[in-house]
Amino acid sequence: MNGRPLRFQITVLAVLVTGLGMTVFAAIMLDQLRITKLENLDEQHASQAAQFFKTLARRSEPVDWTDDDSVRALFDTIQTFHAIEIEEPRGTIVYRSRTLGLLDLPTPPDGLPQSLPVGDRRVRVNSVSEGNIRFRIATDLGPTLATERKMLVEFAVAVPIICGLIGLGALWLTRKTLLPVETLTTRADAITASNLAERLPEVPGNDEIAKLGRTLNRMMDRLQRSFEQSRRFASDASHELKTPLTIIRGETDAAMRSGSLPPAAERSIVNIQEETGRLVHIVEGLLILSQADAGKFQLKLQPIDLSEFIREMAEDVEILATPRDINLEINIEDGIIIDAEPHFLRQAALNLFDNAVNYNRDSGRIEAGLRLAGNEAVFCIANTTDHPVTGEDRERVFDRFFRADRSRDRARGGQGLGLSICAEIIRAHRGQITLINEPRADWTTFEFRIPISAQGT
Amino acid sequence: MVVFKKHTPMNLLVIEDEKKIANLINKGLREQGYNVDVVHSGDTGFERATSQPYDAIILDIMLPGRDGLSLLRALRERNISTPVMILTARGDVNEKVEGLNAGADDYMAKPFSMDELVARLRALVRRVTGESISLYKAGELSMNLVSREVMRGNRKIELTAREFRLLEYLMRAPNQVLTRTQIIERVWEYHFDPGTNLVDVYIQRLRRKVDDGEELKMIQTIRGVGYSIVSK
Repeated sequence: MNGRPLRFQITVLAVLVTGLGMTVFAAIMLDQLRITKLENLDEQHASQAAQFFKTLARRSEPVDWTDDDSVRALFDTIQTFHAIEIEEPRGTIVYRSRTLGLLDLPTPPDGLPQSLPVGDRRVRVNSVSEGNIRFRIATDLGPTLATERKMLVEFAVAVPIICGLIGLGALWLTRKTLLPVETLTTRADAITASNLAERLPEVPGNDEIAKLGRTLNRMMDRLQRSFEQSRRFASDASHELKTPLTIIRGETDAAMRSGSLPPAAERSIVNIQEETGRLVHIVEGLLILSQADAGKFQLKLQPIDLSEFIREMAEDVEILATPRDINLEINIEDGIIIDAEPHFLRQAALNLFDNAVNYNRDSGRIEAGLRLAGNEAVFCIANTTDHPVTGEDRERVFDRFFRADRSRDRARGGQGLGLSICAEIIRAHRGQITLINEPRADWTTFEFRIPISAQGT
Repeated sequence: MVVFKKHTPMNLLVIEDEKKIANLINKGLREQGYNVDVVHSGDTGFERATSQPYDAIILDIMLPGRDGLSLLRALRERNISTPVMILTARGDVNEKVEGLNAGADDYMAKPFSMDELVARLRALVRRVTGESISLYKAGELSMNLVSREVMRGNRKIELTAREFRLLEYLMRAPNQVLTRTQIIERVWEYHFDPGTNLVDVYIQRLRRKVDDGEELKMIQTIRGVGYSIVSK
């Protein structure tokens, strides 16, 4: 039941509690009614008996028990529904009400009234002895029992109906109460990094749910602020870094151009340039990510021949792969034109090629292919590897700062940003990149699809 | 050495508030034999651009006072059609697009390199002034950028597109040492070092085509530093 929606839990609980409560209530009530009724009867019986003996004692002459009329005079105030038996010391019944016919009344102990069967009925019978006369008085319990049964039936009908109504009421009320919660959930689910400015709908009123909504919104205000701060920081930092990088690059170029440096200084400059290049690459990557987060990473696309583009890169990759004896097999369909920004697309494709070489094993293989599938250019690159991406890592390869093999990547100077930048670039080309489910166990395969140019065909 | 058919020193205006960058550009362009005026604010820049004829203007977008874009728009409104190269500090496409819409002829995103700026500027002026033939020369090696013909003396050399770009880059600055990083960034436009022997392999190929069987080996390796093309 814990797995069910709150709505059903509350409803079921309400119905159970109501049903149980009403049943217990009915049982107690019926019991009390019976007890009261019997007490009343017993009291009546006792006073009848007392009356009888009082009248009997006041008589000067003995009673003729055979004469019904004179016997009845002893208790003429007694109502007709009672049945009476009078017994003499010898055990002879001297009087018996006609209602009893031939039936005997049972004899409970004196002063302890009991409910007992007589024939096919149940009666409440009381027995009182005084002197040598025993007086028994009984009342048919039939009508009482009938009333009880009737009430029982009424309860049996009423309880389920009431339970049903309560259930419906609870369902309606909880739905009405929880509907805003559902709305909040749906809307909260839809809020991601790219639409952080959105807020949950204002729930009217001042109840707990309205408060929850407002609290969540305030929390998101704070989140958005800090998220935007860090985003702006990344963006500002990247911008700020570009000017000094331009200067470093320009100054080192100028120093090299001067041609008058001692060889040691030249080698220092070579190192500075290498590191500057790396820095430029990182800064550009961060800028892409911060722009993508802000939904502002858009590229000015122009038609390019992707087949030629990939072929040219593949030529380079072949050279890069040679020292490690990695075999590159490439299959390119000609004349595939897409709209692209060459600088960024090159970065994305190079990243994939670079990974295919770097995560490969020595003497491994790379298979790359470019083909047309409907309106999409499909580029696929597979490489053998000793560390295939498996399990939950598969879903995280495009996450920022994700590294399948931490130590190895750090040694290579990777920031774990390559594939997430790659994904943003492909997305900015209206395409998408995926890690393919590769049937070969020791292979890793990536694929990106970009719509072909409308102008190119 | 660069040979233009119509050879007059060009006058360039640089409007850039970042003094160090302005100096770099100034130095780089003067080395190429251009006359350069540098100003540091949009207002002065506008004044200069409207009062003197320049062959091209290099304009930073982020400027104190009048910013680059509105300066550019104002120039175009006055029908001043001097070719303009804008410098954007941001990789922001919108800014590039805005700049081009405002009438810029080309743009460079920071961090740029001087030789790229010079090459683009040269192409820009060539496009605008219609100077159509451009030739690089180094010793007996010559390279026609339009017909894409490469000659060593009387021998014609066939190059692939990449080899052509590599040789072009080397010939822009004969006798100067170019580092592998410079080469990979500007010829390949790979903006990180893929741990590479790429440049070496291509230099080997180029060497086979240019220097094989020749007395003078023009393409030289400077160990631990880079490569250079020597004209004598």
